[in-house]
Amino acid sequence: MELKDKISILADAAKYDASCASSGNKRQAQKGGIGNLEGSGICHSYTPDGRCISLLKILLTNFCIYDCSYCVNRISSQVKRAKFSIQEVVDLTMNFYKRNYIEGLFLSSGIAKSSDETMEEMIEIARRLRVDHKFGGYIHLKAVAGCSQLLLEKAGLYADRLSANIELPKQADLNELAPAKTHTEIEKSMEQIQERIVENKEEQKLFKKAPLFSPGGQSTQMIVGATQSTDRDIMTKASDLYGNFNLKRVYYSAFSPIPDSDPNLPLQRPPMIREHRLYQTDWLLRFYGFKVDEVLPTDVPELDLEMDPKLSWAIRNRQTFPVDLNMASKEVLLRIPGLGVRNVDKILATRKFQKIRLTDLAKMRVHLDKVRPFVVTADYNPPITQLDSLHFAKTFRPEVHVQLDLFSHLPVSVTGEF
Amino acid sequence: MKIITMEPTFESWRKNARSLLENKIHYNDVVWQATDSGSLFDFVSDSVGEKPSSITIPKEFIKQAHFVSAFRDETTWSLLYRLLYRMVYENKNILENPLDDDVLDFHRKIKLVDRDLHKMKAFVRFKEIKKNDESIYMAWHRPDHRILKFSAPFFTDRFNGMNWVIFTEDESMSWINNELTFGPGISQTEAEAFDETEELWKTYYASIFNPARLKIKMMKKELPVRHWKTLPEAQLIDGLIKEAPNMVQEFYETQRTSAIASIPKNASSLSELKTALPTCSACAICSKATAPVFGEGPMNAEIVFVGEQPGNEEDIAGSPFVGPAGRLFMEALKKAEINRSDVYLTNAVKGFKWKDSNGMRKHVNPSASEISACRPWVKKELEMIRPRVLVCLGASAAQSIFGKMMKVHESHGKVFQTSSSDYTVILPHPSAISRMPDLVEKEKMLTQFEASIAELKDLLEAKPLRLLPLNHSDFLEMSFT
Repeated sequence: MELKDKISILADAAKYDASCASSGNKRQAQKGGIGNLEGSGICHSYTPDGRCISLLKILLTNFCIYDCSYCVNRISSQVKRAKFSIQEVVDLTMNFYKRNYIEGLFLSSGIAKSSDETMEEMIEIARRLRVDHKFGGYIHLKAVAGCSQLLLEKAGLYADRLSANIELPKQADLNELAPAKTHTEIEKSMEQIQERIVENKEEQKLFKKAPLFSPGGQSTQMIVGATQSTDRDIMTKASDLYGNFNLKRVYYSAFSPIPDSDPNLPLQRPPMIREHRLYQTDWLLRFYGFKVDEVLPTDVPELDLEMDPKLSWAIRNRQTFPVDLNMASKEVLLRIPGLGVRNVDKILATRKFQKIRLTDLAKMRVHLDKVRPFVVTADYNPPITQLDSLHFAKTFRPEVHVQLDLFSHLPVSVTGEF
Repeated sequence: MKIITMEPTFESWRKNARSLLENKIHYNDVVWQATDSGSLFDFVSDSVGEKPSSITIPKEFIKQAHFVSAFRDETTWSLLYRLLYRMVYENKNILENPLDDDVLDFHRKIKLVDRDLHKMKAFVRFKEIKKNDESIYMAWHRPDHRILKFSAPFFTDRFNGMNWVIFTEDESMSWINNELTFGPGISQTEAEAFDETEELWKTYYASIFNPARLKIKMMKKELPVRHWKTLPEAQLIDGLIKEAPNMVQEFYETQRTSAIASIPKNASSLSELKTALPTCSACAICSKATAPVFGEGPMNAEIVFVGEQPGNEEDIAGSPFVGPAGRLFMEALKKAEINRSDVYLTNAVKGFKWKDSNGMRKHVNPSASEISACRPWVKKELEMIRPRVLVCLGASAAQSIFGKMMKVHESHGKVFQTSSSDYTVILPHPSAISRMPDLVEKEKMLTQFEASIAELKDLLEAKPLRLLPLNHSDFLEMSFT
């Protein structure tokens, strides 16, 4: 099979993994070598699905012995199969990198024979890049489900990031769609990676030259919308994973139609707005001091698709508003709908010079209609009855409710963009 | 009113600003005019030969102002002077007020230049030009602002081990044998070259795109159309967008029918399932078979055996395990004192898959996709029976139950916990024994098979698994020979 055909099959097979991050590590190029890391990754291109291309994201092979219903590479799928040779992946990565197409390689694989055999080949690719080619770009290796601890330890010596996919939010979901996988086993890999990262940080303190282990940390991915699990289930799992394994990122991937999809898993338009709301919630948990129970309490287990989760929280907790922008602490400011971390910092910096007025918010390009009901400024007090109004929430909803109908002619039904 | 005419370089602005500032010329009294072209070597000089000034400017501001001076816009020079003047004569902390109009504009420009620089790092596309044994990598890029020099540290580090040239319309930068030099620019047409790797890159670009989630606005925001002309992959964008709806439509149209559609939702008995089975069209096997063969046995069976698929005789009789392999299996059950009528017998695939071989119907293994298509039936049977012990006979049955290809010989002696039963075991399919040509090996297999069947009863009497200490693995291994 020609290289071009392999690329086409094995990139197609890799695209359902949402992660493309190349951040979390800094490295200068070796003298005469190729490749460095700036700390935050660079997106070299974008495809019309709005996703960035930062890494060469491919599978070593899409032959797989697993039969996970949601996966394009499952054994029961009739898609074309291919396998790269080790050297083909090495050369392709170097050739793309030298032309500045990519930041590095994100290598994953179907499990062709055994987990360990597959993982060993992936490690060899990383080794050849680092050692034979003095490659200083990014390498993200997928921890193949069920591979041995010894191999994980080896992989982390060449990789900037390792990841094991949790796949679905609950064990019951796995039983349904991927019976050969268990959260226990996946989390065991995460734990092994995490322990090694912590150990390695200690080694670094003692010996500056101790080899780094997965310095860019680890991440994971959850598929959204393939099962009935709620947003609360999803975010509870994510929050546990952040807490237990100190993950850098949890990716949420809207379950999307695939070629030769499993007939037992009905095809549907990918729930992209839901995916977007989950990312917003993820941000609220990590940077805004919210807890899952606040954003998704037991009686509100699903996120509102029409408004962002912070606004929706604020409407449910109106008693805490309005907030005086000239007095409130950072923690309180962060909870105001329409204010992001950067603008909160700007408000705090500006307060040293002057009182905050509505015009100042406009200068910061804050969405005034959204913020106004929740704040008090030097020149503005919201009408006292506004927050108490029963119809308050309605003022934030789009006037025409657009049903995301599958075969609608509306552009929104195709693009998922409002 | 003072009119300053100067080259659009930071160094000439700096010289002019310095003398204006020393003479305390108010910013409202200065008009800045830049000529069209500037020196290519616009680096901050060490101010050698200038007389020391009494005015001190924070280094950080000079650095940021130098960066902002890359901004291609007439008003930049006066903005920089205004900020400088205000800092010196009005409020030395002016930069710390983020909402001051000049500071806002200053930061906005920093952000835009920074973004342009970032996009340059992202969008420069090298083409390899081979000469004899040496390669030189060449790129042509169109930045919005005068940022080439600011990009040098990035490119010289990242592509340290390569020889390369980056051209823009008005200047160029090259790294040859570890030496950085700047030179004049060229037009895009002068920089055309062919590099075959671009074809691979375009293949990658088209294949990594997911047609089911078009987000064109988002793409254009991050990949501005004005840069498309220098990106080889951008030629594909319009075609991909146009094709996307058809591709997705094809996914929907080619999706096979699910067995679930034929399974009565509220079925409470196995006979209801059996009645519904002939309506299933999840695969093409049954349409070529006499009729699908459903499982046999009581709903309260404690042991369930799952085979592969009915054979020729089963197909004709409409009953599982009545052919040659079935007879061998029945013999083993009898020896173990297990009654056929007490256990439930079924298959991973309900129809007989065969091909014509000299007028005979010859067995063909079901494909992974057919095993998966029939799985909802097996799952439903097991859900109703909830067996204590589940026996997968052969690889196809194991694949149906485990959702993964399992190696039958390696699973020997292991008990697995699956969602269908706490005691799931894998044994070879009896047909693997009956078809074994080597008689010694056949005898050995048969003895082992019969011993395993006999041990199933011990397994039945074992305590429920949850009372046993579980080790870390969900796949519990017990001694089972």
